[in-house]
Amino acid sequence: MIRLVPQLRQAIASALFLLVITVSTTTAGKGYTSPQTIAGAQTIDAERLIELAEQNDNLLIIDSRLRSDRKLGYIPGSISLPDTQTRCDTLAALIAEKSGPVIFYCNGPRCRRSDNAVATAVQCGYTNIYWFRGGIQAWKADNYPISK
Amino acid sequence: MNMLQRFRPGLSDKISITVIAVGALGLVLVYYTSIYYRNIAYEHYQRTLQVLATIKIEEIIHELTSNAADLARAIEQQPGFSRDVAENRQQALSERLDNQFHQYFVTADIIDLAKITVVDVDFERVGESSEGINTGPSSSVICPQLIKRARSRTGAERLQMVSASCDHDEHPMFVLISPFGGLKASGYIQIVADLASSLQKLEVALGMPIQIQLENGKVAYRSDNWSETIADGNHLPVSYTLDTLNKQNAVSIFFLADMAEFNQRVLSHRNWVMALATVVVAATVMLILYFLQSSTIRPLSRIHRILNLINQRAAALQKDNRVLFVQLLDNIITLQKNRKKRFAVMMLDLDNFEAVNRQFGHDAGTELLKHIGERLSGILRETDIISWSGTDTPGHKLLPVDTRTEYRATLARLGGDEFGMLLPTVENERQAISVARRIIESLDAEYTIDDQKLRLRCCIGISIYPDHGESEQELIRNADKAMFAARQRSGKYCIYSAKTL
Repeated sequence: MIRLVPQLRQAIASALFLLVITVSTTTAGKGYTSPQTIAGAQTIDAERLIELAEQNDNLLIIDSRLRSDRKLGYIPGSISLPDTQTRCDTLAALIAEKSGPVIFYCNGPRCRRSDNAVATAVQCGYTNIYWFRGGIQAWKADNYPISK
Repeated sequence: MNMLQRFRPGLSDKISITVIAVGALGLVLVYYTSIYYRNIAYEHYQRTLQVLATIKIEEIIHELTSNAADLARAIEQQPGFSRDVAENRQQALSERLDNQFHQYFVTADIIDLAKITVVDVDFERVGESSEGINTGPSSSVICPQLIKRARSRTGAERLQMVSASCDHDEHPMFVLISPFGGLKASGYIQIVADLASSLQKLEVALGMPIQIQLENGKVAYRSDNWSETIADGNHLPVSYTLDTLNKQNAVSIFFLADMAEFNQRVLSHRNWVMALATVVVAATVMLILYFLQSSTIRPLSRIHRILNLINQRAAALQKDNRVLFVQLLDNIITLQKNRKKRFAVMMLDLDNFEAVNRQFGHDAGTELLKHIGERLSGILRETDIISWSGTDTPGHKLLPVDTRTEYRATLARLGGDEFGMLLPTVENERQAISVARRIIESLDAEYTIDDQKLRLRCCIGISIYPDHGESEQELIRNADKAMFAARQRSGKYCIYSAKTL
């Protein structure tokens, strides 16, 4: 075993303590916020979502949240595919072609799930991906109807 | 009136009245300050209540909006609803809507439903419930402004839920328009609820009687205890005007805040302060009086009284040497009584003095008095006093201080030929007779006034304190008697004797 002089041991202990404090405060205080854009996907707002729905009959709106969250209300016409189950095979079962339009959303900018789902879809080679970053939070704020 | 005229406030009265007046002013100030502060508190409370009411009303409207949206969603999600709309089965749709009046939202008292209408995307009526309020031909469209606004929207906005408060047939209503059919809306469900009924919750939430009133004065709702509450005068009216679509017929909500406890506390506090102020004023008056009494008031008030007396009688005093002479005699009596010493009072009758005054004028009289003074100064020992210097009032002489008695001997012209003389240092009859003889001898000698030679015949009556009287009146009277006796006997002087006179 390496024998350390007490002063050095104390210095290391306080340095570790400070590091722990710094890390815990930065992560606990801020939380996660989604990036503004994700490469390979187009970020849209609620109005653009409605516009796309009107224009494309084969538009797919995917709710990336868990079922418990979805029960509290979802965008009418959206289908549930939690990000935990978003894989190339599950996507392929829902979207016929790689160029088929698809929108991902979750609770809002602090919910990581739609980011994950979009990333997966990009990896799987889908080319017409839209990301409704504001999610259900922005949808409700604009008084758009929700289904339960 | 007579009493008022007679009342002449002394110095202590004036000081007391001033303190009491200041105290009374203080009480009046306390009274008005309390009213002023009460009004400020009322205003403040009123503003606070308005904020509270705003929050509460917004909460109620928010809850109503949320409930109406839930109802619209429940209707949309009924099996067969979309098909009925798509196939324009108006009868079936209306029955479906009528059923809502016997289901959860109405029977569980979630929403006081007045009407449900289903319209297509162009706002053409597809179905309507007939269970709610009576919708005659004139009143078939509730809140047309909102429908007009909803219809004029374009794009994604058409998918938004809109709601508003407005009045319908002089009754406040809440209307929500919610799209159905997913993101490609196939129509709208219009939920109409009784707003007044929802606002009644304020009564319980705020714990106050309320009145919901339209701008034209029509009362849509009024708490049962409104009238009796407003009559008791202990309530503060607060009002809140609801934001409605048709501004010309705004809905106002009035509250009556119970101020009874507040008023009672203000009143009791004010009474305490006023009682305390009264006690403080009374204590101040008493303290001031006490201190003034023991330090300045007594001497000051005596001076005040004497000055008043002098003021009142100044004119009389100037003409009446006798009053001053008697006062001086009174003072000497008091002094000699304490010292247990005797002294002499003399009454001099100078025959012809008045005649000289009349014949040669007052200047001559004054000149003669000067001579008399000089002669008397020569006769009397230094300690017997007598001098004409220190004149104060005409015809009355205060003589220099006698070091032994600390009193001046005084010769006063009491009227006509009569003069009074006080000799504080003459202690017995022998001394008095000796002084009298020398005075007579001296004054009887010839005078030269304005080159005129003239003579005075002097006659003296003597009384000794306290042998011939203990009061000033007695001493003067007895000296007078002695003087008259001397004149009758053609003598020059006479000492009073109770046996002979």
